Amino acid sequence: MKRILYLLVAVLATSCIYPFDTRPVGGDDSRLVISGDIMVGDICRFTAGNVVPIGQEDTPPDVEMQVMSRSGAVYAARKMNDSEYVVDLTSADMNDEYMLHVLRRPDGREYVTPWSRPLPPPVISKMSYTNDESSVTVLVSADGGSSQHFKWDYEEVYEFHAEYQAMYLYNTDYVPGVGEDPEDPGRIYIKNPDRFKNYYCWKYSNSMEMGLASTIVQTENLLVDYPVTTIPRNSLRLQSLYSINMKMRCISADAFLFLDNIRNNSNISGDLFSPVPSDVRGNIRCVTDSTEWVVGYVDVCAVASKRFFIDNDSEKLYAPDRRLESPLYIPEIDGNGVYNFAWLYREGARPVMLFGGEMFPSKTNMQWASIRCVDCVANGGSKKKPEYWPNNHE
Amino acid sequence: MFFLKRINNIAETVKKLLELLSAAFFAATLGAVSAGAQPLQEQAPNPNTALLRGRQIYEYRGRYNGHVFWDNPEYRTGDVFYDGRLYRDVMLNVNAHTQDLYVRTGHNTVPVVIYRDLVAWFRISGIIYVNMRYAGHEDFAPGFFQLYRDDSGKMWYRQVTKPLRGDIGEHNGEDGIGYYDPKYNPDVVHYFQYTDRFYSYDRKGKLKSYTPNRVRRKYHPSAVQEIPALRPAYLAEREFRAFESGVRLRDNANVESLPAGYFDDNSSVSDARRNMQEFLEQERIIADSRNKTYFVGDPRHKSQRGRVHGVIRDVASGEALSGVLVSDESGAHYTHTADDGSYSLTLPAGEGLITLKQYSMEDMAFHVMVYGDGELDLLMREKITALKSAYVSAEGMADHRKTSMGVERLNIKVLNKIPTAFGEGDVLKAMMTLPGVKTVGEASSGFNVRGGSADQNLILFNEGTIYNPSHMFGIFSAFNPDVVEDVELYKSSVPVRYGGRISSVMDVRSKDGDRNKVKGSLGIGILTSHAAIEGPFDKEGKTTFVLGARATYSNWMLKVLPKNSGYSGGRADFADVNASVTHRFNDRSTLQAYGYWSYDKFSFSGDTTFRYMNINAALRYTKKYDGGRQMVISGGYDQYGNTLDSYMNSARSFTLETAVRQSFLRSQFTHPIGNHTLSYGADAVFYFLNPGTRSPYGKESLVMRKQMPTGYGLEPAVYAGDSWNIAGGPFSLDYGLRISGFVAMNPAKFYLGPDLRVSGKYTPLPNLSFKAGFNSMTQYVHMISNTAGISPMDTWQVSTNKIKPQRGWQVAAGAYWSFADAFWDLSVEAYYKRCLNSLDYKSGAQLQMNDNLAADLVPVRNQSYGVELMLKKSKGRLTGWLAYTYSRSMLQEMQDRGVLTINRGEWYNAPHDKPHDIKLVANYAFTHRYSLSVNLDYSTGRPVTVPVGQYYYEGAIRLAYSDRNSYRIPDYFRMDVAFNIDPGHFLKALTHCSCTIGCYNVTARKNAYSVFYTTNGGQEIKGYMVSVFASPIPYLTINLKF
Repeated sequence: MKRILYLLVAVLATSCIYPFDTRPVGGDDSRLVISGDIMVGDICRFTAGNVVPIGQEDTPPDVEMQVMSRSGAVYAARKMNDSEYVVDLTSADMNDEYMLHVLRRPDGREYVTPWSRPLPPPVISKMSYTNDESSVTVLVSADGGSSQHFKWDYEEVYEFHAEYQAMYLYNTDYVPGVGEDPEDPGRIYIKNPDRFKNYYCWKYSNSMEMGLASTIVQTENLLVDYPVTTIPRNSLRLQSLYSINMKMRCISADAFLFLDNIRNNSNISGDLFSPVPSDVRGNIRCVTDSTEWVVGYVDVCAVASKRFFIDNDSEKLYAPDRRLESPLYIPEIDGNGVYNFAWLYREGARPVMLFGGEMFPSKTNMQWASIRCVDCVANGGSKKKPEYWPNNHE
Repeated sequence: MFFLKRINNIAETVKKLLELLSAAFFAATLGAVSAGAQPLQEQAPNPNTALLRGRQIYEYRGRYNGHVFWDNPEYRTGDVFYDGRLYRDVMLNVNAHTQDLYVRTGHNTVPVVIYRDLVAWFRISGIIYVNMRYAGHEDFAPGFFQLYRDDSGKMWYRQVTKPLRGDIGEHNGEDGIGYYDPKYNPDVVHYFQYTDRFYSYDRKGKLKSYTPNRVRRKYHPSAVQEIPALRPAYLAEREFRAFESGVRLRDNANVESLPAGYFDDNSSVSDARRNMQEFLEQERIIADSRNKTYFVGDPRHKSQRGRVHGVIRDVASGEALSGVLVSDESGAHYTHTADDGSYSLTLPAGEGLITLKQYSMEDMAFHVMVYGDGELDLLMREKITALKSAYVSAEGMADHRKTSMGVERLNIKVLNKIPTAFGEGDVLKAMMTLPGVKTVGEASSGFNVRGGSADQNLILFNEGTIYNPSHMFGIFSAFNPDVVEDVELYKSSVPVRYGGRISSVMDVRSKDGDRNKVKGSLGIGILTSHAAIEGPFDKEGKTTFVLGARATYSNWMLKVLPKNSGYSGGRADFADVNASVTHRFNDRSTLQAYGYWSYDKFSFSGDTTFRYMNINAALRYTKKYDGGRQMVISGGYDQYGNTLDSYMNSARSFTLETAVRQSFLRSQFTHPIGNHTLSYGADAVFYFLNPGTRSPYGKESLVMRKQMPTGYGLEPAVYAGDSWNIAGGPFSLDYGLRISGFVAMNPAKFYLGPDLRVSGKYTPLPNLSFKAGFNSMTQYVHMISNTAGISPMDTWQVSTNKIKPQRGWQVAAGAYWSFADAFWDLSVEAYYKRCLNSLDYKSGAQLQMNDNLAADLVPVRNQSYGVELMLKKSKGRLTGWLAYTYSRSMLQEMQDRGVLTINRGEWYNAPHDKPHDIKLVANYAFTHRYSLSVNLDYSTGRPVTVPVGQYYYEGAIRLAYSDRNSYRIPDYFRMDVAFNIDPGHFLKALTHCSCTIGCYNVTARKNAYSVFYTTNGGQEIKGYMVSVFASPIPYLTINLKF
């Protein structure tokens, strides 16, 4: 009976989404793209680029950027790389009006945004999380005051550790020989002088997708436990100590419309009721050609930030996927009659621990594991510990 | 009085005839009726004589019993004395089974059965046959007796019978009376041939059919002759003995003389017998009605022409039949019955023939004598073979008589044969197999007719307007196939009584309810079940009802899905209920009440639930007057509402509701005058639309309640039209004017919409016609949606001072040709259509809860054109149609908004623009029970807006889109097959079960519903294709009728 049931169910669940590799061709869109906000009181980052056909690399335009205030102050942007520009507005006046001025060097075209006064930053009242058996969702609560639209990004830092502490190191100078005493490990392993050296690491990442929310349908401009990001329970983020630094600002309704639209256009679900994608014009205008369509909306705002930690020692949220654990290897005698230490080392394995809890290593009682399980740096971590980090791990 | 007079005449004639016969019998030799024995009146047979007004013959023969004629199947020349007249030199033969006299005027004419009781005698090859009962000898068996005299001069009466059943064991055996039949089946009580098939009834009421090939092969006439069956001498001896003692007759000599008590209601097998009795009774009624001459009008006040009007009904159920072609013999005068079965036809005074034709019904012809205006109700019966071979409506010839063009009509029997995704007969899906009807994708709600958008179709279900005609986001239509009688779609020539939409009108009619008995049906499918019951409340069938319901059980199936299926936790419910009551005050007044309720609820994501509901209630009163005039008054209330519950975040949970409510009052008058049929009337629709109400969902929600201003509007209309058959010739013209208005009330604004409807027809040959027409339409309500099809999130708006009415016109022309004895129909129609003030949307438009919605809307003009070719086969084992459509539908923004203008103000593809469209629907009937249906569908992929560029914004890859609708998804192709098993004609059976086993998308083609691209979290661009039915969908549907 159950099989029949599943057959029926399979019939119903015939709707599917398949990869579709055909890339539309024929697009000749090469519009200028300017992204970033004028964040008064903070360091602002802008990027300049172009729309290019799908799959092609962009050659960023050579531009000059500067933020100008109504009072006459000019904050020139510093070019960080081909496309990124940084403007220091930490000393800018919150009560002034600002605009962005862009000069594209090859053709001398100038682009400006309208003068605008920064919207007051929201008040981030609370950060918290909720979890279910598979994931943890970080939540934010904020008060926008008189503003109804929110935008945020965040920085993540988390501490994680290698799977195993390396008590011994392999002596790379060791040359195995035939007929050696297997109980003589002295030349093979070296006692690890700092077993925590590559055990604790930190990882840094930024949000890939801007966060947007609106309270326009609400009675109050409050975000209550609004989801920010979702972390799988088996993610290394939750292994030890996780930190997220929310940087939230209030934006105008037009900016929200623009940003929400390009976000939706890039995340279309394709379901039966998906709206037809469309393009919304931003607030950047070419001074000499009003018909030129520049992609981007540069809003003037002020940033509120708040840092939040999730400590697995107390919360016990981490649920590692045991299937992903590295296997352990025991050295064996190869076809030439010698132990395969060198081969293990070349293949990326490292000594881990003594088999059976014996006091001293030998050729046969040392277990090896993949380097990423022994060395957190090899696993993408950094030994650069944030200054504000609340524990004493090194 | 007429009949009394007629009886007196007959009695007088009999008396004189007896005198003649006496003289003939006793004074002349055998077979030599004296030439001097002339009757009082003599008349040569001609096609209009009463002699040939007999009923049509079922050409039949026993499967194993050879022919049924007295001695020879050949007709021979003879004389007959019928109804007081002597007719000479007519072709005669006698059916020894039924004891009927067959008459034909020549070798190439169709024989008829004349009314036996009016036959006094006839003579074939010198032998006289006498109707002894006509002569007053009631103790003789019905039928004809040969007269012989032996050598001693003694008279013998000999009747040869060929019973097909008997219970005394003296016939159908090698040694018995009758004729030898090596495979005689004692249970078979009745054999007959109809069209190209042979049938037999057994005593259990089971109807069996035999294929002609088998019959021909096994029972070739030469084989029949070899059967040592016809032994006249032996027969004569037995018969002579039987009658030697005078006029004593054998019992059960005639097959129609079923044993006494056979039809006894108290019998244990009374159901079967009642069924048989009903069948025979229907046969009798039909035969009687065909055998009659109907007098219309008052003979005392003769006029040049008369208006014949009445109602055409199904003899079995008593239900009125709509869409019946009523015409005279030449086809010069014709009309079609209305939804209530009424018709009105002007005929020249005098003797004539009225023919009735409708798909699935047997063609009928009735003799009429028209003196003036009068009423004539007629009956039709269902074709037995209509279960299969009349798969496509036999409308081919009827199309030549209709002036209107672009009208598609499907009967429920037809659409039940068209394979659908889950096997359930579907009105909308069936319509989409016709040329000019498209959809943006399978399993999408709504449809597009000749380039119009989905909201430009007026969908009527028993007077009520259906705003969302689909269940379960478009997989099923909202119409229960058990209660639907038929559906008409007007693509071009929209009758003047319809208005309010600019693209098409789809009129779905439910059954009236059987007037004779309560019966029901039940359908069981994979996802849904449906049931209906209908019947009379009283014995007279004055008040009948229909009640139907349908529901899905997909919800519990979704619950048991594995978690990784993606649908776990989802819900999908729907149900609908139809109810109607029809009360006939008398033959002229009918009141009908309709009710419809449908409900949908589904949720797949677990945080959003969609619900929508249709409610319709209507009353319709029909009154007929003398002269074919008719009045129809209807009124009712329609409601469509949808609700969206979003509860992903408790603080932001909300409920969004929209609703369309309308009440309407319609009056329609039909008034035939000469060659004109005037129709006129007035409508009023009052709209009160709720564009949106948003309210918090749950106690923790911070969502602010907001109510959009209700849209009020009144749409009155008056109209008048005429259907003019010009001088009864090949030209006819339909023309009319509909003047509608719209009073927007918030704020006040008035619009006027005069709509002109003209269509003309030229029929140079009975099977060839040319038509052309012009239509203009006005629409005052608009669906607000930026999805490709109808979705539960759509809202409706009335015209305001900022949203202008949509106006459209269409010019079309077509040619229609029926050939190969109307087995095939070929049609070509071309059209060009323009619409103004259709709505498209600005980029980023906010369509819900928008205080300034009009600012986000963009009026566009729509240009559509196309050619529709259709080859249809209506008769035979293979039926179906092949249609090819080339069409385009383009939009252009009407405003100049500079760089923001959609596609720079150039024409762009409408979302449903699919230039090439090929559809094949075919059904092959192996037998009348088993058939195979195949459905092929190919179309160009629909236009979509896709990304053609990329850029980085805020650190993530973003997509830059093409011009609107400038690309297309891959072409669509699908093939479905279904094997249909229809019920056998077990009249005894309490239930009749039909079964369909089929497979939708048998080639497993992954047709794209949509193509979309995402940036996968801002990292890389990935393309995806949604395929709604990506694999073959087998299905099994069982339908029971009881």
